[in-house]
Formats: sequence, C-alpha cells, structure tokens
Amino acid sequence: MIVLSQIINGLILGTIYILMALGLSLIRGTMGILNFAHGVLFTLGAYLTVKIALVTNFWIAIIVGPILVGVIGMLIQRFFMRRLQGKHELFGLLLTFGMAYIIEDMIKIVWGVGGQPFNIPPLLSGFINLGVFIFPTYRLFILGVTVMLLIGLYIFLNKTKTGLIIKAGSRDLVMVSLLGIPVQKVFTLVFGLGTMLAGIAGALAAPMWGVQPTMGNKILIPAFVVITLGGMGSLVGAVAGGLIIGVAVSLAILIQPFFSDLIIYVIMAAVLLVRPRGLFGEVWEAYE
Amino acid sequence: MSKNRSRWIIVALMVLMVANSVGAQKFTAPQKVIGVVEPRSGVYAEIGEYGIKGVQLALNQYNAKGGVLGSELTLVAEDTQSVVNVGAQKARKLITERGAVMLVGEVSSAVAAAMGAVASELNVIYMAAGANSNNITNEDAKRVMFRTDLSNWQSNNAMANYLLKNYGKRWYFLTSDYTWGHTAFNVAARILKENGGTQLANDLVPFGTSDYSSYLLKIRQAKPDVLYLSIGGTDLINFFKQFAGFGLKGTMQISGAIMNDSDAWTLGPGVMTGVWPNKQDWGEIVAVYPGPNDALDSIESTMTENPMILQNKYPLSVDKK
Repeated sequence: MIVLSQIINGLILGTIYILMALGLSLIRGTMGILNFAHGVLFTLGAYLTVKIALVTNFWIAIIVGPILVGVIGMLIQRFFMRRLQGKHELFGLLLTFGMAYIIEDMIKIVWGVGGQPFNIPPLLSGFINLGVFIFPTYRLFILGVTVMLLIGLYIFLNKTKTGLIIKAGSRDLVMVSLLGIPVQKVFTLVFGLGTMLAGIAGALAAPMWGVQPTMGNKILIPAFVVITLGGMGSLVGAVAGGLIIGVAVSLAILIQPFFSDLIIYVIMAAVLLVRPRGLFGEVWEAYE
Repeated sequence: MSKNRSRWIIVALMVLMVANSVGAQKFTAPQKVIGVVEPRSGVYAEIGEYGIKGVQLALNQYNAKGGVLGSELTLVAEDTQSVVNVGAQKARKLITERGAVMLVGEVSSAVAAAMGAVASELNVIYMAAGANSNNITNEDAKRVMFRTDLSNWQSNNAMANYLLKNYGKRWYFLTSDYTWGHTAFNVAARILKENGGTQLANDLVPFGTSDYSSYLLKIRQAKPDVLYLSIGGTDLINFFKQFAGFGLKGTMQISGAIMNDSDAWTLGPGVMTGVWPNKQDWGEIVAVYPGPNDALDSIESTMTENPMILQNKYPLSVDKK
C-alpha cells in the first residue's frame, strides 16, 4: 500500500517536471536550442509571483507572474538570440548559459540571497485524507492546473493556425518560410510560450519548495533528462518522461534515498541505449 | 577649460588628498585582510550572508578603536557555494592572492574541513565559525583550525536527553547526507539506544533536496513519537513548508540540534513547529569581539530590522543543570 501511495505521489510530483519539460521541449523542437536559462526562468517565475502577490493576491500573481516571464523570454529572443540565427547551435546554448548566470545574479542583487517567505493560500492548504493515501490539496491543485494546461496546449498546437505553424516550423523551417510565414516572429512566440511554462512551474512551486535564488538549479537537469528520455521535441514524450521520473524518484526514496538523485540518469541511460531518439522522439527532417 | 574651473579642480583635489591623509593617520601599518569564506549561494546562503555581516560589524568596531596592532582590518569575502572543492580553492585564493592573515567562516562542516587542510598547509589561522560536525575537532582537526560554534556532541546530547525525558521513545530520523548530518545522527541515535528507545528509520536526504513528499509519506506511515531532523538551511525550510500539507502537524514532536535564526525567520510562526534549542546564532560576532553583552548591544543598535534577535540574548542549553 505504501508503494501505491508513493507511485501516486510520484505521478503528482511529475507534474512540475512535465511543466518544465514542456517548455524545454517546445523550444528545442522548434528552434533547435537547448535553453539553459530555463531553470533560472523557473526561479524568476517564483520571485515575480511572490512579489506580485504582495500587492495583489495569490490568484492574480500566479497568472501575471508567468506572463511576465514569457514577455521577458520574448525580449531575450528578439534582442539576443535572433542575432545568432543561422550560426552554429552552440552559440545559442552558450548565450542561454550566460543568461542563466546573469539573471540569477540579478535576482540576488534585487531581492537578496535569502529565502522569500511565501505560503500556500488558506483555501488550498488542507489535505484529503483517505487512510493510507493522503493528498495535500495544493498538490492536487497543481495537478489540475497541469492537466488544464496540457489540454490548452494541445488545442493550441493542433487546432489553431498559429499552433499549426509552430508544428510545421519544427518539421521543416525552410518550407514554412518559403510559404511566406514570418519565421522569426514564430520563434519569438515559441520562446515566449516555452519560458512562460517555466514561469508557471516556478509560480506553482513557490509556496511548496521555498523561494530562493538557486531553486531552479536542481530542477533544470532533471528537466533535460525528461526531454531526452521522452524524446526531444515531443510533447507527449515530455508528459510521459515527467511521470516516469516523478514515480522513479518517489520509489527510490522509499527504497534508499541515496538513489533518488541517481535513478533518473540510470533510467535515461537505459532508454537511450535501447532507443536513442527517446520514447516518443521522432526523426524530423530538420535534425537528421 | 577656463582658468577659474581648473583652479577649482586643483583645490578640490587638494582637499581630497588632505581628507584622505587625515582619515588614514590612525593606521601606521598597512591594511590587514581578514578572509571571510561563507556560502553566498545554495542551501546555506542566507546564513552565510549574516556571517559576513557579523564579521564586518566586528571589524568596524575594531577599526574604530584604532585597528589591531596599528593595522586597519579589511574584509574580503568569497563564496564557497557550500561545495568542498570550491571552498578549498577560495580559501587558497584568499591567502595566496589576497594576502589574508586569517580565515573565518563557513557553515558546511564538509567544506570547513577541506578549508582547514588548506589553512594548515599555508599556516594561516582558520576560525571555522559555523561547522558543527564532530569531525572538525576529531578526524579533521588541524592545529590552525578552531571552532566557535557548538559541536554536534554538545547540541545533540542536550536535545536527545531532553526529548527522551519529555516525549516518546520511537524516533524517526531525517539526516542530511554529509558529515554534519551523519555525526549529529550518530550522537542522537546512540543516546536513544542507550535509553531503550527505538530507531524507526534513518533517511539520508541528499543535500539540497527540495521535495519531501516521499519522505513525508514514509514518516506518516511510521507514526513516530519524535521526528529528529538533522537538516538545515533551505532544506529545512522546504521540509517545513511541506510538512503541514501532509496532515502531520500535531501528530508528532519535531526536533533537532540546530534551528538557525535565519531559517526560522524565513519560515515564520505559522509554518515553523517543534521544540528547538535556543542558541546565540551570531556566533561570528561573539567569537571575534570580547564579551557577549557588548556584542549584543551593538547588534541591537545597528541591526534593528530583526526583532527576533531579542529572543536570543544568551546561549542556552535545553538541558539546564
């Protein structure tokens, strides 16, 4: 029974990984860039949410905070990353790596190195007790928000014109631009959307995980593991990978906590040995 | 440039030179650098920042009285990130490149031990202000390294005996997986065993863990009388934030040997729970400046933004004799 409750807990834990991985996967799949600033944008989402909540309330803050992160992401893409278009993808990686350091230090300068107090709102701070199973209300809230976002993202990418352009762009950018679609604007939008998802993850994690400048560092590498495991560029893969990693970490803690850090890499290595493209990865023309 | 303007510039420069020399007249010998090695990022960042403030306060007081042996003392701080090899490298840098005459600081015992080795090699005194692990004064002891904070033996011995007298004997341990956590656990577990208690489990939590949901499910299932925590910094903060969410508040007593003030301030009274030893957490100040009351008076006058400091007037042992 304890195993089952850990599995369910792991699925819920996986939702934060899913949110991070979705944004990373979207950016990687469409733009071919590994966004190393994703972790620090997660942190920025948390900080902005905390600060906005001080002058408004929790509910407004978790909407406005991530939107601001998305806007910042779009500005980064428009004024910095666009200049590296057409160059080796390593340049983009180095840029995001550098931005990660800069943004983290700016957070420390503006808001200090200490933790920011931020608690779960009273409405969400209870728990649902089902005997062996216990569910903190706030974690169920995160689960609900993630499910809604996944549905929204699916509709956006498959049923709207912009979404279909994004999907097409990740398949064959040259053809898309030849058809007269402004590819640069698509990239800006994708980067903004991807970083907004990181901001949402940070906003939701803020009351639960403690808000401090390095909070995003510990989730960035697992997020990369998730998209590698699930398949770079695959959103279904991001969901599957996130759930697998969440459950693996939970079960590892049950058996031997020492392995909880290690298990995600073992799983990733095992999957890559058998299926290098990841579970749901596809061989796309752009990256053959 | 007009003649008048150039004349004013020369006058201004002369005034500056005179002012500078007047200010420097107190010090006859060159400046001495005090190297402060603290974590300015990571799990113990906030504790580290207060440590730096404490040293700066002490140096200000010394310099106001004419420095030490005629020299003005200056503070140069480096971020150890609570990582062993980074700390060792920064310690070496402070001594060899910045000419530090002594080192002070650090929260993580593992990093302190490594810096003690560097200090010993370069023959510079190192005050390991915040390192509590027993190792610092045992296996990792060095002639040049001194500890000003409690040892794990002192703090865990006091707490474990107090808890056994007042609460139950079924204990669940959550231990930070490095030397400080291990030696804290060893002391408390031994006292528990000697008194006929039961160790339900000892979970070694990786340093820097943010999510404790799986641990909390295990703890909930075990139903201990006492949950003994040997975790600190942001690890402790994250734990407490999630503890209440699993319906565990009030179902067991929580305790441990150390609750840093800065951690308690971040948590706030609504979230923090348990029984903790009261201790003077401005250890660096008390060590450097003679007389605990003098130090505290100056703290209260200069750092009035922290009202909780008034609660930490004197170092206390829980087990009063």
